[in-house]
Amino acid sequence: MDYKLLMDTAMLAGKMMLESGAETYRVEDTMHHILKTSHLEVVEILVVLTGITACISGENVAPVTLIQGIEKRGTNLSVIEQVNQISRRYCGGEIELQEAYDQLKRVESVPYPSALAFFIPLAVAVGFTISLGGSLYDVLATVIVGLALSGVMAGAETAGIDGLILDIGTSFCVGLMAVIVKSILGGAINLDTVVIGSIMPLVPGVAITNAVRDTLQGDYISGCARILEAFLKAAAIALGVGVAFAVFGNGIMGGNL
Amino acid sequence: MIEIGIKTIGFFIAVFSFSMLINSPKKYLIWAGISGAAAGFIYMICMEAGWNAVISSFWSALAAGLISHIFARALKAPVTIFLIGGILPTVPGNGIYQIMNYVLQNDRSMASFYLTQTLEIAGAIALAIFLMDTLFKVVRKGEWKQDSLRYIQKEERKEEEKW
Repeated sequence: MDYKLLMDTAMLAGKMMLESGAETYRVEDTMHHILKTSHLEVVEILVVLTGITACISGENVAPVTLIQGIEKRGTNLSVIEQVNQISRRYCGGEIELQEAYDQLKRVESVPYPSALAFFIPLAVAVGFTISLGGSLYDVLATVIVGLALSGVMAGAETAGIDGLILDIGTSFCVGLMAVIVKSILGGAINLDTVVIGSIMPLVPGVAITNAVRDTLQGDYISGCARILEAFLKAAAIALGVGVAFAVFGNGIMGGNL
Repeated sequence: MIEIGIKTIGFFIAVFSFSMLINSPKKYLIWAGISGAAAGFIYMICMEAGWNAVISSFWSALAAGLISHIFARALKAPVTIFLIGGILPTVPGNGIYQIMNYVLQNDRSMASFYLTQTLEIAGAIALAIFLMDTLFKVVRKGEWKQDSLRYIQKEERKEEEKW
């Protein structure tokens, strides 16, 4: 067996999963399964949010150790799913090691068509406004606010802005648009419902889920980092909307939000 | 009842599109949406029954965990795909907004009320997910084993037989 190729395959799978926002234990689990197919005595894997270390060693095999730093972190469930399928097929003996490696190399995210992708945040916002019990006017207002939200998110993606600044900027736009719409439509709409629905595409649902699962699995370092991420995102959203309300709310609404 | 139906559809639309936002594979979008709609439905039923938001969130997240684990095993996909959608109806977007709102109005007591409630809801979600994860870990030792694990165990068994 080509142990170096095995290590490369496992490391590539782990790297792609961690970069796509998989939970830490899932990355460790997948790499462990792949490396275990070598039937060596020593298989050690250490995954934290910022890097992976893996080592295999056996009686007649010199130790092979790889270190991989992880710099970009996003959320892309389709990549996780594809890597999962490949590793499952490899561990099940359906495909050879070389083929697994080649397939992993070819994995890429299948983005939704950009025309459709533009309206996704809008659809999320409208869906949540409906489920929060919004009236027809609320939904209408959310469509307007959601269009601005979609526009800002699409614009930020082309400009390459992400992270906290994006959260603050988009939620600021949500707050601003909501105040403007409220000042035009007046008492017909419920500002709370519109704003809560519209910030839902931004809330750190992924970060919260992963934070919980990582922490309770015992991966405390990754868990802490993700809890911090969730809190910062929530704070950024509150900050953006709050600034918009504080600055423009009083001017347009005369202090009667 | 009609209102709950409409809201459930709202949750379905929201979670379905949120799954697209995080780039879930196309074939699982419907299932993620169902997971979210079911969790939202349970949440609303609990609220109707007069329970508070924290307890309702707990039951909702518990239902989301159960459904997600079943879907993950039935469809052989990572459980995250369904779980993220499932807990979305209880993720405290409302809490974030209310905290910000009351801080802005200088109403410290209401702000700290919502801050505590938001933390409690987050805790309830965590507990629910943890319970379901643990439960399915136990069940997995029986007949529900995930495929990748079963393969490995088979290999190891072969190895033992050789010896």
